[in-house]
This record gives sequence, C-alpha cells and structure tokens, in this order.
Amino acid sequence: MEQNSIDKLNAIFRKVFEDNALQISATMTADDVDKWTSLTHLSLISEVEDAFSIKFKLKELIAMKNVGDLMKLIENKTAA
Amino acid sequence: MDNNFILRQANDSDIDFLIEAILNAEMSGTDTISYCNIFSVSKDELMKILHDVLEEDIQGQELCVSDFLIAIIDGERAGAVCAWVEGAEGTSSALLKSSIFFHFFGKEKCEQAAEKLKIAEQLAIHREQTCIQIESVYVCKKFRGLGISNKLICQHIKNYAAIDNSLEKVQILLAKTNESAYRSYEKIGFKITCEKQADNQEILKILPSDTMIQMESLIKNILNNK
Repeated sequence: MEQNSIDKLNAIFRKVFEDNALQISATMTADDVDKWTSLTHLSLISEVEDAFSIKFKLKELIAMKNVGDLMKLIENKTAA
Repeated sequence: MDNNFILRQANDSDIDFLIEAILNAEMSGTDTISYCNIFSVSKDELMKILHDVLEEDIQGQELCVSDFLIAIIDGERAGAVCAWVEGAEGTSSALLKSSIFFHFFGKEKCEQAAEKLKIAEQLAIHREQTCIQIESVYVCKKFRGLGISNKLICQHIKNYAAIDNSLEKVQILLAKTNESAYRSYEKIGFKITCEKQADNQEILKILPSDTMIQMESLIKNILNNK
C-alpha cells in the first residue's frame, strides 16, 4: 500500500478511535485498540468506504483479521 | 420422551424456526426486540434480514445456522440453542456481527443507529476468547419444563470438547430479568461472573432489560454433572 494511502487510513483510525497518537501497522488487530468496539467498527468500515470510494463485500469484511488485511483490500479495490 | 427425542445440527430447512428462536431469546419474555428499536426496522423487515443473514451461515457468532443444535420431539421442533468458540477464526463475535449489520442493514441505518448503539453498549459484556459461548436458548412453550434447553447446551459442550480438548470454559449472557433461565443454567453448574447495569432507564426503550449478566462454568464441571 502506498504511503499516502497508509497516511489516509491512519487519519481515519485516529478519527474513529479518537486517538491522535494512534499509529497503524499491518499486524494491528481490534485487541490492540482500546476503543475498537462494535460501534466504532461500524464507523470504521463506513469511513474507509467513503474515503477510498470503495464498497466491501460481506465475505471480505468477515475475512478481515487485522489492519494488514484491510490495507490489502483497499489496495486491491483502488488499483487502477 | 427419550424414545422420540433427537438432537441434531440445524440446517437451512430450520431457518424459520431459528428466527423464532432468535427473536424469542432476544425478547427475554418482553415485547422488546432490540434489533428493531436500534435499527428502526419493523419485525417483518427484521425477519427478512435475519433470513438473509442466516442463509450466509457465518460461523463464530449467534446468527449462524450451523452453530445451532435443534431438539426434535415426536418429529416436531421443540427447541434450539446456538454455540460457538469465541474468536476461533481470529475475530470476535461482536465485530463479526457489526460487519454483518453493516452489510444487511446498510450504511444509512447503521449511521442512524449510532446513538442507540452507544446506549446499548453500556450493557456489552466481554466474551472471553477460546471460551464456548451459548446464545439464543429457546424452547417452545408446549415443551418447556422438560430440561430441553440444558440437554441442548450440554450436547453443544460435549461436541466442542470432543473436537478440542484444550477448551476450558463455557459462558452465557442473559438479561437479569430472565430468572427462569438463570435458575436453569445454575442447575447444570453455571455461576454469575459479571453483571452490568445501565446508568439510566433510557436503555429500556431499546433493550428488554437494564441489566445483563454473564454466567460461566468449567466445561469439565458441566460434563461431570451430566
């Protein structure tokens, strides 16, 4: 994933989880982020779809285990 | 009863019965269906959505056909219970359900539901990873009092323990007002380990109870109790 996309995704994480120091990494999971709850998960999906102009399929959402999976999905969906 | 009593894994032909089970378990003896209140959908709309969700058969959370066991008495569906191992595939049931809600209720309804979800989250109790989770315990009125729910729960535990002998605990969440269920689970060895009460009564406009409890037991205690 290109650095500008990583930065864009990082900004979304900081906004959704209300943590300006949050730094995403590929291995990060919901267990690593205090405010990653059912509710913020909904916001995260929604914000990512809007920001990258993409739409996730259900099976993609279900298969997503960590931030790295999310990055790969965004990369695949935004590839020209 | 035993001659005509069968426990089996649910399949797609059981979906309508599972919807009845999910809704009744959800209401906990009240008229409140939290999904309808939170996502502003009618009962009919919700039933259609639950049908679609169940058809997807997404394991690791309570809206999954193949995670249900069904009790059959004299050829009739008498009860159902769902169970799964929390986080077995790497994602919590809570996040799986969020993804499911996002897909089936849609972005707009989820955004509109945010405030109500925030209120409901006051009663969210953490489900421990690698613990068997029991949900949507339901027995039809005419078959109550026969110990069917505990037979279903024990069978689930036996099945999971046979697949993975490293599993140690089983947990169940229920509304505190559901006293008959509480007493029933206590009989087979469950004990209360966590209780959460909402700090205001607004929550009763959304959920059937303002207090949730978590009960748990060691798997070996339940299997030895049988």
